[in-house]
Amino acid sequence: MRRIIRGPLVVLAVVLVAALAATACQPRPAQPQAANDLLAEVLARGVLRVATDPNYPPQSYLDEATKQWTGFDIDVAREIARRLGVELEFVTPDWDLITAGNWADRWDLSIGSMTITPERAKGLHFTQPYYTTPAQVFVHASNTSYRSPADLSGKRIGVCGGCTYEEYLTKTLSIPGETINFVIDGADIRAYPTDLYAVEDLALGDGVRLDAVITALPTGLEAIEAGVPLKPLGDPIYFEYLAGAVDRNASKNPVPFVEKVSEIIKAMHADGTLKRLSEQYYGVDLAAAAAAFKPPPEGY
Amino acid sequence: MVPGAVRPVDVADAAWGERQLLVQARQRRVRQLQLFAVWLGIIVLVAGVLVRFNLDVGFMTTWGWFILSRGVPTTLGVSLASITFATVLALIGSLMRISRSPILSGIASFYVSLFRGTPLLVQIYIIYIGLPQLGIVLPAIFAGVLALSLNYGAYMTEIFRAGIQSIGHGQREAALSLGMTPQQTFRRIIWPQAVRLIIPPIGNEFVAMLKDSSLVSVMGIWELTFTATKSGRPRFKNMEALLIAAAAYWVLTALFSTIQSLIESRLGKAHER
Amino acid sequence: MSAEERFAGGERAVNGEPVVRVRNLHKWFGRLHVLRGVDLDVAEREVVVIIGRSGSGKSTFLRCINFLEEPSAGEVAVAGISIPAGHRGRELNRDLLKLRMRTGMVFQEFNLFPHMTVLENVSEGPVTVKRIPRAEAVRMGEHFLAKVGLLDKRDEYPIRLSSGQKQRVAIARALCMEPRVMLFDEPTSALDPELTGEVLDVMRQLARDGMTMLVVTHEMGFARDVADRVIFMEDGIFVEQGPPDVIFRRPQDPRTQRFLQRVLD
Repeated sequence: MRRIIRGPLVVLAVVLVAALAATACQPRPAQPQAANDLLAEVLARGVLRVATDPNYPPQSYLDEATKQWTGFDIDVAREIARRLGVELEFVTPDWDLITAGNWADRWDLSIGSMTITPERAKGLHFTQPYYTTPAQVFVHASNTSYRSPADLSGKRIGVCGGCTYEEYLTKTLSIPGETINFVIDGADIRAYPTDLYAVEDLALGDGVRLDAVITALPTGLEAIEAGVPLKPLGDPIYFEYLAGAVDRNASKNPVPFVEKVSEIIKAMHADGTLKRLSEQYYGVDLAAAAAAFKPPPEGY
Repeated sequence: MVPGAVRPVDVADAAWGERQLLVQARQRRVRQLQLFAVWLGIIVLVAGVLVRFNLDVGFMTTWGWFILSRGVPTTLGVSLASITFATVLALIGSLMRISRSPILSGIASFYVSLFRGTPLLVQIYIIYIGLPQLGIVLPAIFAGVLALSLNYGAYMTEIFRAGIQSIGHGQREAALSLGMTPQQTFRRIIWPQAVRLIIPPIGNEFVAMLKDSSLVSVMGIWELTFTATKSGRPRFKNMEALLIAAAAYWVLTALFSTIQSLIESRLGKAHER
Repeated sequence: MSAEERFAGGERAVNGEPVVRVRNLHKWFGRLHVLRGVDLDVAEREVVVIIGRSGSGKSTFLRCINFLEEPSAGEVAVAGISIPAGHRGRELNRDLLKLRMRTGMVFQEFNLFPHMTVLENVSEGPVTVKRIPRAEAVRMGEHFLAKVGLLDKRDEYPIRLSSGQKQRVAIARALCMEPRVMLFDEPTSALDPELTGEVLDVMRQLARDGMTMLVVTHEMGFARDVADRVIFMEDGIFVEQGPPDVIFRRPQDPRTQRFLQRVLD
């Protein structure tokens, strides 16, 4: 019998190309032919794909007993999906990949307590914010020398790199609808991939690696509850508006989808759903201010 | 015989040879026991240090099974799929590399240079974020397998090439002189000998890949490291969670190292006197 | 046809044509002109021994006959398959395989396949190249192993054999392809001195059985006893050739005389 194909090289090359072609084509999401419109596509698909980072209790984490998704963000996402009349599916990409935009249609919506910033708005559309979060300075529990955030000028302060806390320290932060007092001068900024690394470092001891951390008030309080030796220093330094986000570069037109989600969030403010969820997870109403948020005329 | 004189050893005595074998066997056992004792000592030492970490045993018992049952299958699956594709890539790459065609050889050497010369993490990001620009949207798990395969395929191409080229020229000539085609020569004579040299490094690559597969977690794949950090960090029990993951990696790599040495000793059969 | 009959050599060359015919063979290694126009006819059943200093081009000449070295110019024909130098293309590649099937080669370094048993070594050619059913190839393999006196080693791996045994297996491996001519490239040079005898004995028997042989060797005793014709080679040409009596007793060319004087003393 003569071999039809010459040599193992050719056979393998063909197999590999076929395999690559198969993996390249097969997993592309089935796209309904209907309209060039993300909202229509989500409704046609019957599944809303939401990006979240299950790293942050009480916003988003795995439940101790059930190992299921739980948290404030998770419940907000569930409610949005319910009101859209579709199923919900979570994906967990790196936070940087979410904030950078260009999602390649892998997911539809971010419900991840994302702060609205003009910078992010270049790549993302923001929905109506669903709550606010107070930015809070924390110091080690054993510290007695700092009375207010203003005492931290020139100190080593841990923040998540590229987030609003870092912009606050570099005095470049601007939040629509907020007047911000920059009370800390010349901080020695220590940027971390996530605030939680900074919290872990501050927990090592007063001034061991850090003198203070800026993070969301609920995140810090959660850490304290988990036994991390921190304490809040003074009042919140500013408030952030936290909203859902949608990729501007989605291959389907995202605008009707963003408007629809904003509409749902406004309704959730109006009927008290968000107030109830906020009190359930944070013990206080952090939603009220977000209801009154007015986007700039050019919109997000 | 003079009392007290040393009786000369009768080397021809069969029992004497038997006794020598027994002595050697006992020396081997003693050495193994010594090794075991050293390991035990180190483990006790490390355990002592870990106790001072104030580990939360409650967390480890509640989350241990979740981390392992969710993370290990994914880590293993991603690694096994990737090593398979990487092996295929390396076989093709090495054949192209040693081919006389400047085009094939050029493509292969460029591939090796590029993927060995850039960090795996960067490759993962480029495949995940970059390919969609060309209209190819790979789900995270496929992107991860593709990146790992391409990266390891490049390293293994060089391993395969070295293995193939280390088979003496005489083997090729002997096969050709029988009238074999170059393809038959490769399949029947060169490759089976090269495989024996290539298997041990593939095992090493696989063990390395088990650990490098944690890099695909940036795309949100729930493999061992990702599952551990997402379980531990929100509760500020990162150390506990990572220790569980580390133990799992260690057991896995030890397991595969054992399998590897079993395969090696099987392949070595023709070369034992 | 049984293996026995095959080996006895049923098909003989028709109309007395030479089994090996070489015309005006040249070989350059870069600037080095190693073969400088060599012609040779080897008749059926003839045993030709080539002698000469290392570097005279003997081995290269032998390796050009089955194209392990590509001749630079000239033409080689074995058993009717004629291939000119510088050949390219599919048609000629097929001729090349045919030519090699009809040409057995024994190397200085044996080159047994270490991953195969002795029996697998000798039956590999028939199975892979000739597509002979394995059972029959095994019978042939056993026949030729018996011929070289190593049937009892059939299931050993080569690493467990002595150098002399290895070379005898290598001879059996080449014979298993039922070649029309056997090329021996210094078959005893890598052997332990006390083991050359057993290999030379096998070669002697082969010559007695009527195998056409072309042998490059330093074994002058073998050349004298077994060769039909001895060729002295130097600097890439055949300086002198003739029956062993003539070459060893009354060499004409001063270069032959000098060489023989050195090796025979």
